[in-house]
Amino acid sequence: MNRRRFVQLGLAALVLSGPLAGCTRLHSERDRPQRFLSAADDANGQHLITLADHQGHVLARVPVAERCHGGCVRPGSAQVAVFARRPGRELYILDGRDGALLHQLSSGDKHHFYGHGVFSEDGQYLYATANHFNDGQGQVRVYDARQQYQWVADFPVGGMDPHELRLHPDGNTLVIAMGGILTHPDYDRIKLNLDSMRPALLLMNRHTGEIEQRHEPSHHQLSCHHLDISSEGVVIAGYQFEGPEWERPPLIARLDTRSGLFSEVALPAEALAAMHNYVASVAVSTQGPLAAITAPRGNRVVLINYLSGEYVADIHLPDAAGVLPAPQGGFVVTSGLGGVYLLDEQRLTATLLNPEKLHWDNHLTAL
Amino acid sequence: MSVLSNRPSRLLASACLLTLLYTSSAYAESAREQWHAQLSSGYTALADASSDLHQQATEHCATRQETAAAPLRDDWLRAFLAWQRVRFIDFGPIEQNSMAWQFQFWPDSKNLIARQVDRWMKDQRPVSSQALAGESVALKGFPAMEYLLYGEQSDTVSPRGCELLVAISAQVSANATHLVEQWAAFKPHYLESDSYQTTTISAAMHSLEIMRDARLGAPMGLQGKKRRNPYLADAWRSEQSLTAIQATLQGLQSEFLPGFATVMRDAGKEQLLTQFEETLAGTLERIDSLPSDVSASLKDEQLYRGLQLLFVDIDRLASLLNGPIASELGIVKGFNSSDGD
Repeated sequence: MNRRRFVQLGLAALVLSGPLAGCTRLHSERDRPQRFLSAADDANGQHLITLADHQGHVLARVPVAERCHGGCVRPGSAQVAVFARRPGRELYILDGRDGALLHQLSSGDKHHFYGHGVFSEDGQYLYATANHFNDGQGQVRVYDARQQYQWVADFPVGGMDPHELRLHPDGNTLVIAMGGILTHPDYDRIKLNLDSMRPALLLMNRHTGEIEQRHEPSHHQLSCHHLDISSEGVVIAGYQFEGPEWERPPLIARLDTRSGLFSEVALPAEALAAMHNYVASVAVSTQGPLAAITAPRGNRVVLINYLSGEYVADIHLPDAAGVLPAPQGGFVVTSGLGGVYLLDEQRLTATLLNPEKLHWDNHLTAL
Repeated sequence: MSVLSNRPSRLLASACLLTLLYTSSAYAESAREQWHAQLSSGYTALADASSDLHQQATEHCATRQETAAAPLRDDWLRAFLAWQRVRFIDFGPIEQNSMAWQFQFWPDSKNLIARQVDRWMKDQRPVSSQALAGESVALKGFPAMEYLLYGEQSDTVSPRGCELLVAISAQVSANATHLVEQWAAFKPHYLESDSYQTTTISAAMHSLEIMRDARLGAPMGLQGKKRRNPYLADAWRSEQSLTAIQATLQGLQSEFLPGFATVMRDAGKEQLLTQFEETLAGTLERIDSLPSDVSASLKDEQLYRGLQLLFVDIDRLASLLNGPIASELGIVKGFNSSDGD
């Protein structure tokens, strides 16, 4: 990384404009029209990795063998990593400009991926959540992107089912949503330990693998799966409740990493019930104090003020899936039923940008 | 082995259905009240049959006579088919603790059922319900018992085999009893939440799709590897894969259709309803004329034709529900909402 780049990154942190690296756009690139990448299935069930422009028009479709999930941009390069969905074992490295497939790697014989990863801010290391399925223990697998994505280390997370992870603005800490669910590829996606789950939100030193903080949800069946982090270091995480569907536990957690204060966000009863105990994706705005949380089972996008932890609104959007802060404000939201929407945070409306009938997966990656 | 005698006749089933549909009290009830009541009966039948199975296993194992294994196999089949009848419900209490998987781990592409049972047969640890509680779902349900009753290494007479049968049947019976209780406790929530109308119809849709694609299409070689393979069917060890499909269709007819008819009549869609009812009745009529298992039909082109016609029937049912009916009722199936991560 050259000095100019280093200074740019430093300034970006100072103006509190957004997470520095990994799965979100770099602040210095804000003026470019936004493009994004997402996994999707077409109407025939063909699995794709798609690139789209800021209007949601698909620019490239890369057919892949299995359904994919999350992706992340390699800072300082055009590369983007996309992961197979649990219990898939493939990792695709694409050129984010045209969707060309550059590399394809496997998680190996004893691991499968959980569908998410993040790069270090210098673009050297890729951290991917994985299951060591012989013992069910979750790990962060570390790859060296400068050495053809050679595997270099495994960091145990001290539990099961680490799912989405992000890089803290300090550049040194991985923030990991850990679901706590035991699965094994022999049993496909069956959850094998619903009575003894231990989900958590973790902070891990990315250099040493040491777990520095561990915060547990208020119920052992609140599986912590997705998260985003603000430039100030406020983490918003979403849960998926594995207990009785008629109970209504909290579904959104907030961790202020500046103070270490962990809490759960209270929603009005109706808004909470409408989420059907399931969060698919979280995005923290780079423009204001809002975070958007998608709930496809409830056909909702919930907005909260991530700074205060207060509920703002919920908006109806069918099978609301991936979400991303839009550079002009608001959020881009995809639907599993097809369609890319722009969610206006002022008027609290969702406008259909492109009705193309793709089944968009839960996550969007800004390019 | 033929189990035609285990199949309620089509006429009887139709008569029961007519009684249900035209009882005046049924009209007065909401669709969800009807569904809840029908499923209560279905779950109760499962609990009763599972309890009988457990009792039979216990009695059989007291003597361990090979000749006494026949009633045990009959009771296994009765309980297994009771499960097939309610298998289409994929929400509510059955979702808790992966209970559906505990009743039936399927499909089993890696033959885990045999591996898990064999492992326990060789193990020295005492067999008990508690010991099984922490075990693999592959060991807990009807297929594991099926392996002991019908498998290549069928064992109903050794002390170890018997202990396993007793312990697994105890677990299944306890789960079924728990399910009845939980389904009753679920009632107020189910009746109060409008969204369960869509959820219940979606469960039937999903069940028909699984029946077409995985339970029938895959063994017929119409999915994935395009090779005929009887081991991809349900209950191939007991040679009851089509009987199992028939039981699910009967469950849809007796436990889903009454509430569904109310929804369709309320929506003024009698014609579509009639089409669905007639297609379902025709499918059941077809399956009555087929052997109880797919194996023979996969080897014989003449018999295979029967499977193809059944496949078309089930596809027609699934397409009716997923297409025009879903469209008229405003039911949209999600992508992430039905299979997120």
